[in-house]
Amino acid sequence: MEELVHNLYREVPFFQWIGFVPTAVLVMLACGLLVLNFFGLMGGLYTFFERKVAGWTNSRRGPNRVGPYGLVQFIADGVKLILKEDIIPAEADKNYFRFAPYLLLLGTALSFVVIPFGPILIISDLNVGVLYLLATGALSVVGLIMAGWASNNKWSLLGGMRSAAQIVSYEIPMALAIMVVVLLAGTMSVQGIIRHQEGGVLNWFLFSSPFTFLAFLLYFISSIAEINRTPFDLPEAESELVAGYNVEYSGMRFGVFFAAEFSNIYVISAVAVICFLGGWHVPLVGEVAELGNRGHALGRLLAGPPAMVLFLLAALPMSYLAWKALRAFVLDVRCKRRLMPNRLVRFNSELLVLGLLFAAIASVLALHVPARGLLPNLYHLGFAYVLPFLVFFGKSMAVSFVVLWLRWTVPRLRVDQMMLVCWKYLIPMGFFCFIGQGFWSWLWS
Amino acid sequence: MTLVTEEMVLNMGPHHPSTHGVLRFTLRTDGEVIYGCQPDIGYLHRGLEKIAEQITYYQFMPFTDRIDYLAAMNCNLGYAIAVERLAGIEVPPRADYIRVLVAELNRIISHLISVGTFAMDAGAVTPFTHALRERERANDLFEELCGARLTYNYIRFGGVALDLPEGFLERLGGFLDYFEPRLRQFNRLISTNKIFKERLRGVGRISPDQALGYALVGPNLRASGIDWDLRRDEPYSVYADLEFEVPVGTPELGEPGDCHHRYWVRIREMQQSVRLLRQCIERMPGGPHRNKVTRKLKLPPGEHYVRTEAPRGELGFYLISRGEDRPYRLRIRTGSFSAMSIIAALSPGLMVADLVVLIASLDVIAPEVDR
Repeated sequence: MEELVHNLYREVPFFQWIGFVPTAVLVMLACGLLVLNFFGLMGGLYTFFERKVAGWTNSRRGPNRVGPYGLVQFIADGVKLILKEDIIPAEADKNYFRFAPYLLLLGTALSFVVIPFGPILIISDLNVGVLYLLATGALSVVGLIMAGWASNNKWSLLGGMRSAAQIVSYEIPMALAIMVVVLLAGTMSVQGIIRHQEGGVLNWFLFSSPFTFLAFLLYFISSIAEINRTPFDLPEAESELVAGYNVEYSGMRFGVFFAAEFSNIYVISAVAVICFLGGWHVPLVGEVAELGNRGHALGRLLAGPPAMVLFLLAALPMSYLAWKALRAFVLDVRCKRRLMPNRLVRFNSELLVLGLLFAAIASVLALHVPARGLLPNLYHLGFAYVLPFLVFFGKSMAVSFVVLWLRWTVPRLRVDQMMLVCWKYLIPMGFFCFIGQGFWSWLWS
Repeated sequence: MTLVTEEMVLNMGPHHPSTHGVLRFTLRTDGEVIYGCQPDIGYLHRGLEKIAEQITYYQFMPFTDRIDYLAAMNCNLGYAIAVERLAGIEVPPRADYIRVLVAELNRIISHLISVGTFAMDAGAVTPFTHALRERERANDLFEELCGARLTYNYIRFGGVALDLPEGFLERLGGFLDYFEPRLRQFNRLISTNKIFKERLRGVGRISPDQALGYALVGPNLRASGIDWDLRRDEPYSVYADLEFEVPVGTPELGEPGDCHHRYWVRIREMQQSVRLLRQCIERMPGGPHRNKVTRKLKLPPGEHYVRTEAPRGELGFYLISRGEDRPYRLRIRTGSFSAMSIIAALSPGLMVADLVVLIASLDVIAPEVDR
């Protein structure tokens, strides 16, 4: 963001005319808008994904009525929540009641500032990025306690306190797991951590040492507990009998809680991808491009005509699968248009997504070598901006799919069992990983 | 400084998301641990026993469906046997086998709901929907047989209402072939899940003496280690000719009597019911499906108590006849009533989340408690 402000002020006369500070303010407002937009979009889309994943896990389809394949469902839910009556309990502390959801929103939305979508697509690459992420994660605790207190409901208060205790406890193993990565990378900056993982899939921190593998598992489990999801959602599911912290909220106030919870899923998946799964590094094609760039003999070999042939061969099965899936989609649409029952091909919405994915992979594989030679600017644009963005997004979606999937597979832990797991198992494991990684790095230095 | 914690009275009211029906519990708790629990019943009382005194024996059969709507065939069967024994009505062998067939199929689907809602109360929703998916197949079979999916009104005095349709036994065999691997998959999904086991271990342990003292029956009793099953020990219908095991809570899963045992007894009972069903399919005799019974059925004066093994335990009908075409008194004894009564004794010391698990493990359903 700072470079953007400086560059704009230097290059564009309009901003010179306005002055430096107004430029900075405008850029900050634009970035804030971007962050909130992304927060809202992720929050909404994840409610849709959750319901679809829930449906397919439960042997049924998720929402498929509201838009094509149910995609408009989250907008319909949002509109419904906005139109609901805003009820504030009579004896509630009104100011805190109103303010509490926004603290949760803050906690989540602020994390988007350091999430990198590409080598330079990041709002601000703080050199304490990872520490900042942990800190903003802790903001939600205040919001929870405030919500529980302000509801004027004994049970909300208890539920809120229990939730807060859970989040505060699980921050420790989460931080320890991330410290393992920081130890390896030597920097807390998010882009720094990602750059340390360049050079192929095997360079990801996940595969660097057994301690980082354990740290990934530790991070994954603690982060699910951080965002209050099953198997750690007793504070909210206790609203079956007693009240959770958000029971007195209705309408869009509840919507903000909801969106914050779901965006949080995206944030923790993104952090898992940054720290352990290589960030925005493109898994296969990037390696070959890197090899070519470094002037390796193998690289130069692979970057020439043999590479083209190799990649085309790899692109063939992908194209075939893409063709099958997209043909099924087209036939399905034709049957629907003619109000015919579709007895020709088996089709579901997931097949469409897979088809598009295969088509994308096939086209990247097939075209990347000629593109590099013939259209170097476009190639550079694609590989420097578009592909890392898509890869990062795809990886975090994959991790969050696992988070969503876990909710519907596994039962809940009881409160005391949950605290036991944290303090007696995860924290010692965290220390073990941290110290072990120190020894490992020293051994292999 | 000692913390002063108040005791709060919490109402786990008739409406609550656990799907056990309209039951109410008044809990005294400090938010974490329960100090006392008082059940309040009667929200689903329909006066079935009084209704039985007003209408004829024939007319009461659909009402028996509603005693336990998840195990309607078993309730029908118990009532039919009660009336037949007093009236001296014989049942042809084919009808006997059909009755056992439908009773065991109903046991499977009743236990599916029981373990499914149990898993759902512990937090896992998917096992419930999977259980319902298996139940759909069985419901299709029942619909083909008698036209209904839940309350069947199929068993009549002297036999059953309708004969088996063409190919029914093949389709039932198909269902069993479909169901057995699904049950194994279900076990892999949730029954052997470590989190689930930790939620259930040691919760609500009922010693054998306590179980007998509170008159528990059915899987609740067997999970505490007492080996008693009416199908084997006081056989009725054709159970004496069929081979099956009776699952009992054993020390290999820990000390018997806790929720984990109650869960596993139900799973194993489903497996045994599949075995019984296969035997019924093999041995199904030909012949009439119903003996003729007089239009106006008057029972000779007398009284007796007939009990059968429904999925939720012993279902007893104490029938007093004064020689008319309607009973003088019909008392229905259900398993859920005693299960309800033990909850108050077991709850002190449990956490609130454990109470939900306990109620689910005892498989209490409201229509049986209140009739």
